[in-house]
Amino acid sequence: MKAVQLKDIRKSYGQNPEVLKGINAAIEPGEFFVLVGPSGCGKSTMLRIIAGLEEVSEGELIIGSETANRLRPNERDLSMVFQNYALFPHLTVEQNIMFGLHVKKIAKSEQIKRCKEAAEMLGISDYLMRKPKELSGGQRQRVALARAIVTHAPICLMDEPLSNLDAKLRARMRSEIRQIQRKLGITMIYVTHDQTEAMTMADRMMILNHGEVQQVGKPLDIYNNPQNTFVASFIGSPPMNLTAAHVNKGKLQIANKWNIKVDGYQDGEVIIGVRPEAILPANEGLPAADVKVANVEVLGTETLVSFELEGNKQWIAKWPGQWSAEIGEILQVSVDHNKIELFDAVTGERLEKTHSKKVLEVVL
Amino acid sequence: MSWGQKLFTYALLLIAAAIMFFPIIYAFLISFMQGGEVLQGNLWPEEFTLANYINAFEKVPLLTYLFNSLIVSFLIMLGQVIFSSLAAFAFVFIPFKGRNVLFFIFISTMMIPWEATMVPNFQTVQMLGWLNSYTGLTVPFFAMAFGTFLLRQQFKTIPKELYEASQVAGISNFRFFRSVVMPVSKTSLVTLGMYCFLTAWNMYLWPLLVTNDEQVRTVQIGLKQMQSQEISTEWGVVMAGVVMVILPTLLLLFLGQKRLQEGLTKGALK
Repeated sequence: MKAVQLKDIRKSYGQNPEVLKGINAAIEPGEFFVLVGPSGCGKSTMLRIIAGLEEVSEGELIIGSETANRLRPNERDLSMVFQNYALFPHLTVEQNIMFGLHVKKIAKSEQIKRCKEAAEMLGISDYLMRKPKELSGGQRQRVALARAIVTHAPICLMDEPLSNLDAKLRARMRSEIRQIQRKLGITMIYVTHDQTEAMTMADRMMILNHGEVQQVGKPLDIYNNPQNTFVASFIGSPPMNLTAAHVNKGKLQIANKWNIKVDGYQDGEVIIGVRPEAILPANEGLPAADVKVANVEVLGTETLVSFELEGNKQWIAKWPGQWSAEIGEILQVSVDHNKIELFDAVTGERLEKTHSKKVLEVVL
Repeated sequence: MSWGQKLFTYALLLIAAAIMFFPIIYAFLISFMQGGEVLQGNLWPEEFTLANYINAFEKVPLLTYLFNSLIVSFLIMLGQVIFSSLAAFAFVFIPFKGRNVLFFIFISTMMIPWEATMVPNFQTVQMLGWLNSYTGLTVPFFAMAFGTFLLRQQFKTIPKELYEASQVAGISNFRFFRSVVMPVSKTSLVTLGMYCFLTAWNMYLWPLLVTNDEQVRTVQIGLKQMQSQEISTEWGVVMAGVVMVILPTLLLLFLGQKRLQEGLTKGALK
């Protein structure tokens, strides 16, 4: 199993502005590393650079212990799964899986053995003689995975492999891919735009936007401590509620509804972020504010309540269980003070308190 | 469709077909007529006779000509398919500076009529000493912009990911060309092959220029010979020759069509 290191990787096409603006990361051997970001953020370009399908404009790419900037794709000892599977339409599933093994000078009997193993692992043994067009989307996806597995490459790259599948199958493949990766212990670099995939699969993830790293870390650390407003709004579903507010003499004023006493932040404009699950229905302990319900989505196990905060600005609250609320009804809600995040109003960067202990007190 | 509509459609199709096919059918009928019947304006031979066919084979070395045409057409077809597909592969899969410019220059040669380049071509072939040889008859037609254009369009429909997957697997360019691009593009290759073969088969001016030896002359020249020099008024013999010339073409079309349909129904891509 090999590590991959990215050192200040930059990429630009001709005179155009840079697509990647200095990416730094160290991917550990055997790690499931997810590159996530909105479309056009450069995540696929990053993956293609690692694969050797695109050249690095500046910076250093290290695979294992050697610099790989100038290596051809097949010299990098990796396998790749493409978004549209890239199966050869004129070959059978078996030929597809074994395609390219002969280049690695693997004996025919070994090729067949590996093909059988991989097919069994993915449950496609019955389809080996079929052509790709006779398979369903999920089966094609498995063939593509099998083709990556049989190479026994220590690094596997995946470019949005699940985006062509329906939601149910996607959820199943997510766990299957994760299990296979654990079983084989390969280093996996996985690109997706879907934050759920990133959250559920990653050992660690990197969030990219406009070709810049926003944050790298474990999914839960990122969820709980987003580095900036972009990460805060991108990770989590529904996204974190963000609203401009200001700190005035130790008081945080939100939309003329809440006045929260804060300690350790300097006076000035800020953006506050509140996760939907940190907004609670008013109960005894916490002071509440009146809000008007704009929409209610009951999902069975939980209920999403949108309410108007000020003007057109809406917040979403996520409450466990099934809640019935009329549109236009006035509800009383509170905010879990310990879960409020503050961001700089200009840069969007997370604000750290000057004191270490967070003291928030609500004054209504 | 109601019966009336069906009847009308088929009647119309039959009439149109009859008009389209008339020259060929009439030529076929004339080939069975005796001496003066054509000049009398008969549409149907009074008696079917094979004399014209025997005559045609006796008067000019038709078999040699047919054989030559077959060889020349086959070589041109092979050459064009090979060169065009290789060129198209480079234009689609191998990135290099000025690729598009080069392609447009390449394509613009389609606007130059072939006749315009005939004289320099003839001089080249003469200097190389290729007159009266299969090489002289075939080589000038190997590189054709049309074939390259047709195949480039086809190759462009092959997902780029297939090429990238091959690169990651370490498959060489040529092997990718041979074992992925060619099989996937079978239908287009057959179409181009047939088109090349028929065009080459119908060539007249160039073979006339570069050959004067009966041993390498093609069948179209043979026909002209029949008509003008030796048996000017015996239309029956000329038509018998024409039918003999058409037959291989028709045969090829039928065979090719079957392959073509096969290729289409098998569907290389989803």
